[in-house]
Amino acid sequence: MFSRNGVFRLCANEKQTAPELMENIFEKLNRSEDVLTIPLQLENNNAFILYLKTVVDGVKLQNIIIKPFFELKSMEFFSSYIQSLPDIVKMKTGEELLIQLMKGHVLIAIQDKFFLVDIKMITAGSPQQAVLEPTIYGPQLALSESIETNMNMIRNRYAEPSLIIESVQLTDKTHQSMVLLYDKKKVKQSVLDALRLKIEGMDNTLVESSGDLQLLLNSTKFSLFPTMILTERPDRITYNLSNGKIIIMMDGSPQAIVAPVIFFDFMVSMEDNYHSYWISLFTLTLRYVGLLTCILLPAMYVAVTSYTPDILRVELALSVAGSRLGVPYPSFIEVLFMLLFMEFLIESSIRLPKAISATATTVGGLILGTAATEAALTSNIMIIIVSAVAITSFVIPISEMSFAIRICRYLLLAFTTLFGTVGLMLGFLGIIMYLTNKDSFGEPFLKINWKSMKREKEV
Amino acid sequence: MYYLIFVTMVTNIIATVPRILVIESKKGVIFSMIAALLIGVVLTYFVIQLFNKFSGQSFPNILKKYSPRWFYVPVILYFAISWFIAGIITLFTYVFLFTTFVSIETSLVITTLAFVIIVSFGMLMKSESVLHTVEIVFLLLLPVILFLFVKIMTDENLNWGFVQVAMMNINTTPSYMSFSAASYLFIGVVNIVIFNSFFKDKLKFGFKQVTIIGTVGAVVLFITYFVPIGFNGFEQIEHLNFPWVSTSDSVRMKFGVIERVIFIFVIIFLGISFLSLLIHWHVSLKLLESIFHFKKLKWKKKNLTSYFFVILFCGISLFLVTRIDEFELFKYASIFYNILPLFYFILFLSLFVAKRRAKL
Amino acid sequence: MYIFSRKKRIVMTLVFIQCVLLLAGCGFKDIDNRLFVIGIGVDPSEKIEGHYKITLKLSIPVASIKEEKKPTYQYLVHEGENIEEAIRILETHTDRVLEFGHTKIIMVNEALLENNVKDVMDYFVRRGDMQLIAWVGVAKNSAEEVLRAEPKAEEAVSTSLTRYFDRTGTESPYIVSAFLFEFRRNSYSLGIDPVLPVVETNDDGSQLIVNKSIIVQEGRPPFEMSSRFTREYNSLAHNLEGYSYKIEHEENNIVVNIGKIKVKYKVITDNKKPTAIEMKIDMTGEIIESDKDLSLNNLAKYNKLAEDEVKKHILEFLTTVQKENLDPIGFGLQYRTMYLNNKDTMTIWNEAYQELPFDLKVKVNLKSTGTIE
Repeated sequence: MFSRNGVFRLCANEKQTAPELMENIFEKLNRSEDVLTIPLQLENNNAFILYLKTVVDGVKLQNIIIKPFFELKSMEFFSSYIQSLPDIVKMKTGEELLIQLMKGHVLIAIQDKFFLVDIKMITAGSPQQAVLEPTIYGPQLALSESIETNMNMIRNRYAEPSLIIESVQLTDKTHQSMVLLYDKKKVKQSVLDALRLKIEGMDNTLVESSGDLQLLLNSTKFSLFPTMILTERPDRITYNLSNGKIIIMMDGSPQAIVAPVIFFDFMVSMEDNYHSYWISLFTLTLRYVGLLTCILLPAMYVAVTSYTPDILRVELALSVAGSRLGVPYPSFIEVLFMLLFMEFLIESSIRLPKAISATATTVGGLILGTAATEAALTSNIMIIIVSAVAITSFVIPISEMSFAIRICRYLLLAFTTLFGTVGLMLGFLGIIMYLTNKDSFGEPFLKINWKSMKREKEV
Repeated sequence: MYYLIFVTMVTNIIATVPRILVIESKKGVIFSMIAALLIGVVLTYFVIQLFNKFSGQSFPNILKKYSPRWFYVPVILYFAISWFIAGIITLFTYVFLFTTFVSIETSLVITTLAFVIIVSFGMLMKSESVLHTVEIVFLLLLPVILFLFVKIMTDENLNWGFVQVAMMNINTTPSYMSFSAASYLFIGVVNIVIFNSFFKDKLKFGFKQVTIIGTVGAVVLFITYFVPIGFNGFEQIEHLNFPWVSTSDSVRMKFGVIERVIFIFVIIFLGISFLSLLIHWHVSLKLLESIFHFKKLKWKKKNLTSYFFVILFCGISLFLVTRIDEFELFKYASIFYNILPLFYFILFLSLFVAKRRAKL
Repeated sequence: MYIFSRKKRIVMTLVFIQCVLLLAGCGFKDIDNRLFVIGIGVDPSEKIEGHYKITLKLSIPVASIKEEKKPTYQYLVHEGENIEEAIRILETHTDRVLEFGHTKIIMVNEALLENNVKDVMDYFVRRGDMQLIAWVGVAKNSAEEVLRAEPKAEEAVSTSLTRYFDRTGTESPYIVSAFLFEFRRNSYSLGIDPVLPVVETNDDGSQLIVNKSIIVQEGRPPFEMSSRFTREYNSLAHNLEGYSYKIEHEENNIVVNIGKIKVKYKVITDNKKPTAIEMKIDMTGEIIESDKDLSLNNLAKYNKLAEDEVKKHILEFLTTVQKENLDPIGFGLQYRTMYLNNKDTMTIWNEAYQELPFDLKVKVNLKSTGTIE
């Protein structure tokens, strides 16, 4: 009983036509296979519904809309019923209407009145395991890919009435919906305004997930350090909310963006809240020391061996000199070579299939280390330094910052090679200066905030 | 706020100041040190009070608003040049020190170049970032500095007998040179001329602050002068070019990784002099910017005035570093210190004028 | 950022890096192109009067420290008009740069101590890259011999001479350790005289013996102190312990080991003229050797015996030194601290020093008699 334009016509004697609006919409939607217009008819009552089959939950549609239609007596009853549905959405027009239909709303026409009801089908809605930021204690469930579930999780954890959810519609091809979450009492208004301005100023064709969004919201095009944190843990989100930060969540992406951030936020893992004071102080200090080691150690090696070996004790200097016997090229090339090799190892181990990963570790670690020394391509001390650097570069909880630090290391190495010990210190100071000069939505990036002693510093 | 003062103080422990002091050691240095201490604190107090009247504005702004052009242009120019020279003195002292003690083969130009590159980046930052940087670096270095001082002072080779001998010289008359050199320690507060724009509320400068600054200043002066004597003896110390560096070379960390304390000292001093240089040149740059604003130098919508000045500074320092030798540096530094009180005077005068005009 | 400026920036950065890489030759020297000088020895030249003979002891790095049995050194000897010239020529004797940052031992020949010590010292202090915490010692016969000595127990990378002085190895009170800066300070100061240790080797050069010391004063032959006196000096000036006294008393000979010592001295003056030097010495110790059994009850008696003995020795030391008009402990310095400075202070002291009586108060506190009575 399909007619040419796919509208069901009943074989019964009464010939109903869909309202003109629906016809228009149908034309606009260009005969996609999954657009359905169903007339509901019962004796003298008729209504029309228009929806996309692939995004609407059929079972729910049946239960909520179609069944009651056939159970209620009159159109007025049905229309009041529809109006009191919890999923009803304000009626939109034009382009917006089409977008809403695309997202799983159902257009109901009852006697010249139109209603929109949201009956979305959610497929990827269950909370996932925390993979990126695992902790020992604390909740193990991370955000899912559906924004509804995420908002549900957050609201459950943070039941403050001052938590405000603002939704923003993106204007690119994916038309994803995006929400801003913030605690009205704690948030800083200037940051909120700046953020909103930024969002409106964004124009891009495709925004896939929060990662993209983060890059687009960033102020400068060639930036090195991240100015926002991506996180998948709901407890980190609620922690940040209670400290006055703004969370941006996007539909289809299991990570949420936290803005603004300062440098010290990157070094805090949620574990710190679940351990006793001294333990978390110790691990925090450990992380900072690891950070410093990661940046400074290769450059220090170059500075000490090639520029001023007087710094070390006699015995140590002699050991270093002895271990470099036979290495044919200058120290900074050796350092560069080993660091690059280590980078290759790290980069490839992300993509290794599980079967090979153990072998690759053995190959990389043992053979690189021992054989390279035997062949006098590097010195013993260099191996130790490189492994220390490799291990400490993963001490930082947020991986974005970890990558940024790795690049900083090379910059510092270059500067030290050019200028010696002076270069080491000055390069380090230069990095600090660069960090203080950055700001995340108006908040200085690297600033010690004396007023709050909370570990994740307040904005 | 304290940082500005403290950084300048600590920097000058090692810079040229002790050399002048010990040269005058037979001529009543102690008296002039005490006098400088008192007067320094008093002057600090006055400067802050005066600036409190204009909270939230920086010095060029104040002058621009309240005084005619013929007045403030030379004043600001004079200040800018003074600051620039102060920075250069610190820079050169450090470069000479480094070259003498640590690596004889490195050319002066390379070291200066390293400094200049990083400092030029720093100069172009916002003033607030400069403050934050100073804060962080100072906090990072402070424990090491304290450790160093404690280590030096508790070393068993420090013969307090010599220190006592030096103290016995208290009965001689003071000399102007040592006085001005000692008062240089307190000059950090005048950096407030630019940074005042961040102190929106009035700075409290009551009794507590005076005591703190006074005590720290006294302790620092004491350490600056007396400790090297304990290590190097009273008679010969006049002949040491860098008394403090030689002092730190005399201490040995028996069980440390770095056995010679001099290296820690040199590196710390690098950080501190970098900070001091940054502050000085930043202030100088901002002062110059406020009077000269070349509208012609535009390139792709960015005004290049600041870049011009940065390049000017770099050029001058690189050029001079090859020309000047240690003795000349010392001579010019002493002349500079002697002229400093004039600087204070002009500062007060201009602020006073502005204050009166503001009331009008 | 415009695309054009981005490319230009990349090009400029590359050019800059290129230029600076070429410049990087300044000061960039790998560690295996440097040779560390561990010790310097200064002797008077054998051929020409007034010239110096310099010996440099270089340490050669070894690839694997655990496999090496003996340390490897290289010695460079040359004569020159002054130290600087000799060292410059020595730099041409080796294929690597000489690195003086680790020079820890400076040996000066005894013959140079009388007149030339200030010149020698001047060179070492003036060089900024040489440590001021290097140890200075006097070589008995020849500095070269002392440096060349390689004791058998020496490890591969550390020098045994260093360990004599830095008190990580042996901590004996017979060894005086004199830092370079200390030496310089004491030489130039009025009121104290520097003391240097004497290092000698035995005949075949396999042992180093350090147990005497020398007081140096410009313009007069140095005064050598025997081991005994060295010990007294060390205990008085530096509070070093770990030595013993032999006490002979009617029935038995006992040897007392001094564990802890505390010394306080004061110059007593009367109207600006020094009249006496008062020293208060507190010692604690125990009895190490005895040829008869002892009882703990008599400890008070042993204390008294020990006190007398100690007093005798120390008085002997002090008067000997005083007769030579040398003041290694620094009484003159103390005198200077007591009065405000004027020109006559030192003259008064110098006149009075030789005649000053010593007023010693010794207190010995013997804690026990060891493990047996």
